[in-house]
Amino acid sequence: MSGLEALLDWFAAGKEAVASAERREECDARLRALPREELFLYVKPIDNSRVPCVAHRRQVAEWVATSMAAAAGALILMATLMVPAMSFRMSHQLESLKQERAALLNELRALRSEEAQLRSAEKLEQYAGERFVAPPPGAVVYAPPAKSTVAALEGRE
Amino acid sequence: MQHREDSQQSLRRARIAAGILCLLALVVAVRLFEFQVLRHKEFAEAARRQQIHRVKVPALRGEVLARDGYPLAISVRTESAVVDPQQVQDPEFFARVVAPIVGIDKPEKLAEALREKKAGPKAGSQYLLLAAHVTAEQRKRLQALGSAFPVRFAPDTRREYPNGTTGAHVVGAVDADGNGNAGIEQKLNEELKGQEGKLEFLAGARQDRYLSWVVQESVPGKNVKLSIDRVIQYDAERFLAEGVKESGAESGTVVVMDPRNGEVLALANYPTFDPRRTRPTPAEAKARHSNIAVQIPCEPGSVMKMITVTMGLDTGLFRPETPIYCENGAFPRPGRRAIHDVHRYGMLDVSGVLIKSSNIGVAKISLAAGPARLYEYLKKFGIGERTGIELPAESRGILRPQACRDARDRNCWTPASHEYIAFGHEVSATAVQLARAVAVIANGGLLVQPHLVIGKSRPTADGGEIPEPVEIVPPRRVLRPETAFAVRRMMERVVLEGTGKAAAIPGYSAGGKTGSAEIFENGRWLDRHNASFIGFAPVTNPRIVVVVTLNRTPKLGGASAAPVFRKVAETALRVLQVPMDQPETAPAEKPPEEPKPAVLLTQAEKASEETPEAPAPTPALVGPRVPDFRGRPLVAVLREAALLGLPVETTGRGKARAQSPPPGTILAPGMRVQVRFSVTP
Repeated sequence: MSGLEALLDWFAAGKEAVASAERREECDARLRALPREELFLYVKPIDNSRVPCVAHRRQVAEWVATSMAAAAGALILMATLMVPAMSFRMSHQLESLKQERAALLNELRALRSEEAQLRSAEKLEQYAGERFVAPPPGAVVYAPPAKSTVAALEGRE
Repeated sequence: MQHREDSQQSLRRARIAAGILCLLALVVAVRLFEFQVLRHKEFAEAARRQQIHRVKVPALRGEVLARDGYPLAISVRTESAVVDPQQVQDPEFFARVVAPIVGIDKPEKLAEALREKKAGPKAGSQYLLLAAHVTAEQRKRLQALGSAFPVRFAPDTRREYPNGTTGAHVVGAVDADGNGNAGIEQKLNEELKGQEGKLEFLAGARQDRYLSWVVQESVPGKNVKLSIDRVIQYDAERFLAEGVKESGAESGTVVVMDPRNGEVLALANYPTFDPRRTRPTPAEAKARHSNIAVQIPCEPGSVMKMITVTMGLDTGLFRPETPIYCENGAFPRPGRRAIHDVHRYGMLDVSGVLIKSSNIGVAKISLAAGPARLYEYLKKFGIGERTGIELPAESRGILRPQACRDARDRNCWTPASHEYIAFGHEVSATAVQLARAVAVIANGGLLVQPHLVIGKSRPTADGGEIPEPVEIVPPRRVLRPETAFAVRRMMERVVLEGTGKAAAIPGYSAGGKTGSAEIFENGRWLDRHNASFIGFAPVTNPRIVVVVTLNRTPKLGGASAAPVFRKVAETALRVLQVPMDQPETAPAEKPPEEPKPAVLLTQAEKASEETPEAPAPTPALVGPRVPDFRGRPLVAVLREAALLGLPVETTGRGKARAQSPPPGTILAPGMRVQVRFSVTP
């Protein structure tokens, strides 16, 4: 049995040798020996509760000034951009309104034309001929009673 | 050694190559210099032409309005569907899809047109009109087709005539280019069409438009308001058409005018045309360009007697009651053509001459006055002069100069001309000229300018209007008012008892004169006439003057033109809401009192100058009492009568001497106060 174990060990050693050779080929750094190092840790409690905080007034002033300058710059930029932007927007709106007005005026013209056509003497005569009858000479035409008269008669009943 | 020689040769070759390259670069540099510097302008212009395109933006044509403000002609902005044939890949498929949408009956025709413009004789064209004035629905459907169908929409305008054929000869029409070719549209074309604008756009290599800007805004045309009344115009056209057909005439015209200011209320011609038709028939095209009322003068015939009689009275040579011997129907003239009357008349007074329309009577008046006076009065009435109405190609009529320049001058009056001109021969006038002449009688002796335009305005962009002044020639006095009133009275009798009975209007008094000029053509007299009737109503304060002319009719003026006058005048008076001055049911056949012969008048004068007793007013009558006009001048009488609303008839001149009915009477409806004036008490 020892012979078999030895054989297996021999096979394993061979595989390991091949793998190590492959690993070596892949990256030499992994095989580099680490230097011997020792770490020393030292812990000491520090009390800073009574340490006074130094006020950096100058820095604050600088910060405020920077902020103000940035805000002013932003405002100026906005104001500068606002005018053309508004102008652009308004002119666009104006053009739209102009176009709308032109369209409406054109529609008005078309409607006026249609109205004139409907109220032309020819149309009115045609309409009258279709809807009304000219009474013969001497005929008595009884007009229908007024609504108020009808209502009064109904109320009496 | 060999190596050194080789390297020197290589160096030489390199230098030669470099030299050639430098030379080429120099050539390129020179050409660049030429293109960029020397010919910069030329190429810049060529590039500009290729990239920037300028299109004209048509101005919106002004409106033509009737006197009630309704449009007679109006332009509406529309869009037309167009296609670039070069961008159509498959003309057959395109035509099959697009033709039903745009209303083309035969798609193959559209496909053929596309093929022609793609590869035919018109190859290269980038424009094909698919449909003019597309509707919103059509636009939506065409847009939905997508980019496979490169249909564009081009701005366009449509001229609309909402009243159809009504007033066609007044309003006119426009041609395909939008320019007027008849009527007001032609005469005032420059003012109506406005000023076109300019639009530029930037185009790519394929001529795709991707940026555009307005170079010059278009200025819309002026709006023009006319004196035309749509209802009177419509009825005038209708009654004229009926009259032409009934009388068997070939053509005719009707002019209705306000005698007080010359405003033309209606101007109708027959045959007429439809201004909406873009492709008129040959007959319509002919009618479109012949406005008979202003362009075609004709012999007025007996209506000219009105002027002759007026001349006789105004010059003081004759009075209405002056007797004239009418030669029993034939007036032989030594060495000249004899003058005949239709009927045989013996003695007629001047009124009778006009009422019976005696040629001999007016010829004698003209003989007594002489040619110079007749010519002067013809001119006073505006015969032979353009009226200045705002319609194209107005004729001045025909009135030859009375005085000859020399013995060889043939274009002047002969020694007999004034005899024939007295009854409307050897002279021609248009219907508008006749309307102006009769207006002189109707308005009391003022020559007015017939005109159509009563207002102009320039539309603003915000839909408003800026009114513009209209220049109208003020009326000019050419006659004494007494003469005009006397002739007016005579003309009323023409309607009541003379040749114009068919012109009597129920409910209104009317005056007029018939005319029937026989047509002389190709050396012989035809059995056809230019029948006419000129008249006014109501007699006491005329509101309308109507002239009716029917050309080449076998009937006479009293039978053919007078009925048309009656119908047109009746409508016009109703539309203008003129109060009736006669009983409506029974048209007055005779005035309450007619002028009597000289001897009888004297007796009547004497009788009336005695203080008449005022009859007791009838309880049924209400209204102002007739004042005492005696002893007052004409102007004062007319002023007071107008204030009281009393219809007055005047005869003579000077101061009022007699009146009927007497002062204090209340007038019955339809009655008039007759006042006789004379210079001597």
